[in-house]
Amino acid sequence: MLLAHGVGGRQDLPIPFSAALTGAALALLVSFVALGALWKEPRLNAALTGARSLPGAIRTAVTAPAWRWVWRIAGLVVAAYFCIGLIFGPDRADNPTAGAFYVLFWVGLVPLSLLFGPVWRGLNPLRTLHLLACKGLGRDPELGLRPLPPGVGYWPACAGLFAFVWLELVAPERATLPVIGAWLAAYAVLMLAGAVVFGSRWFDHADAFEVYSDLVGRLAPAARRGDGAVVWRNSLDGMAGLRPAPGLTTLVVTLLGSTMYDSLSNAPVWVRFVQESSVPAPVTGTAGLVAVIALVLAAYRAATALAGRWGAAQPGTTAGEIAHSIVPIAVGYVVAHYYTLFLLEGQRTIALLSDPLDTGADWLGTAGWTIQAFGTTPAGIATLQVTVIVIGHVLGTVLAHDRALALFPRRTAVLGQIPLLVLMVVYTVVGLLLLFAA
Amino acid sequence: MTIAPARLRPLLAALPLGVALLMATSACGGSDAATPAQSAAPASTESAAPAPAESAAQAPAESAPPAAGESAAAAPADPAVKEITVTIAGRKVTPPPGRIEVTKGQTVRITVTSDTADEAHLHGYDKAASLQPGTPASIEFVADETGLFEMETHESGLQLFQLLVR
Repeated sequence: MLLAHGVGGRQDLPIPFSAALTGAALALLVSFVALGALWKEPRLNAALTGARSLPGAIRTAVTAPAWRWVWRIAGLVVAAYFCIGLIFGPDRADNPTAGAFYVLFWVGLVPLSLLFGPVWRGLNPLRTLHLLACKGLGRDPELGLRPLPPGVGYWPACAGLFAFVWLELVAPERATLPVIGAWLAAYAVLMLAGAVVFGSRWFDHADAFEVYSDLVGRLAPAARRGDGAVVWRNSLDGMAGLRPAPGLTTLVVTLLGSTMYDSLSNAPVWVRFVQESSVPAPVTGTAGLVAVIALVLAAYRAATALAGRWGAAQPGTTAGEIAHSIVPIAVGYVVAHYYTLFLLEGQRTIALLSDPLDTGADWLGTAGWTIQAFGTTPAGIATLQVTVIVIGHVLGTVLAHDRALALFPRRTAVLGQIPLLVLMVVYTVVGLLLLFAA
Repeated sequence: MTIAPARLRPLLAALPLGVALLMATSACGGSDAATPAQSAAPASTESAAPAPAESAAQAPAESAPPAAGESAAAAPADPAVKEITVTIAGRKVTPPPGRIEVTKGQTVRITVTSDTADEAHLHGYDKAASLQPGTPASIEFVADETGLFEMETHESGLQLFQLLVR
């Protein structure tokens, strides 16, 4: 991600070919080991019935209304602080808005959700504003003017996610205040209007950031179970709890495809192509983004259709049932791509946030921060990038294996998994190649 | 954990093994980066001060580039300085955008000639040069941070090249 001057000036070096090759070999090895040696009956337990409970005090704390309000208010305060720079700050590289939005918020949402679960649901200032308005009017926030149509699923969030990745990767002048401001204003209006019409449930289906945080947060080590108990869980059990819904496949594929496009668009071949064509760059960029997502989706559709046929699953079920296993792969990609950006640019943004109006103020006491490298050597970064991509692949493979056992009859279970394994190996190898070449 | 540990064991055992393998190979990849520095050192012997050139030849890759930088200050036409020349004419960049690799610590001199008034900017290092039509403008600096950095023009929004510092 390179957003004009200011955010993301430094990018990671391409990884050494040997590292890409090792990662690819590992991914292949793991896939075959998984196919041959893993369990033969579905074992993941999305209901978390056997999970170990955390102490009762924690449960009492997190179920208390005060707990929710603390985070709601925190979300409002942080959003209000962000708006100071956005609305009143000067439109210069020293304005923290672009860094705060693209790096601290969007990239930072991943580690936060990986650790603590679907955090944005608790923090979302728009949800809180809607709640407060409903309380003021004496209405039930759950109830809108009309019920949410049943087939909506993740489609609105899908559109929102695409709108965001387009803004982040393609939109002209995307680091400037008018562009960020206009995008956020449109987003806020759509979210609030939807909440008025369909009730607060709208956020679960339409808020791209809530849905993203929820997808990633399913890998968190602790969670609140259906019965209210807070439990330690296996991340794989959490991920297996993501059930098929309309739009889910497109959502996870957009997540993966947009990160691939981010790498690809940095390759000199692509840069040359865009600059030398007579078509305006945003048009080529949009076409490229859509094409990459479409290719990832086509590969996914083809592999799951074949898996369904070979595995003798109920027709039409495989694509949705396997979608959850793409999430760890996408998360691995995201961490590999944005780890150093978050670490280095995040520090710079926190320093800038201390003076959002660029008047020489130091409100947070961080204005004097100098960026620490924290041991980010080229070899260390390359190792981390390949490691997280391979870990994502391993988790995805295990999740797909377990689900395949539930989907396919025992007789055809191994055969049915082969297209899925090939798909995941392809995703992983493409990811590694992009890190190597782009 | 609801996973059968016995079944998962080979998988888990393969992981640390793989990571170790990976670290070893990427460490090898890291040492590859030393080669350009060594090739730069003999070049500097031709032009100027023998003392820095000697130390450059003996020292490992890390310390060689600063020596090359010193000799650059003494003799402006030093071949140890990485010269990058770009021309923009009718929105066409010559040579076409690609990657240019330099060694950490090496001095880089970028000369840009544009047919329109513009500003050229190197991201990350935040070096800028204002371009007047037909007049070459230069930026010279020591590449002391590793990574990939894009050189762009602000008005026309063209990418000129990507500087790869290892």
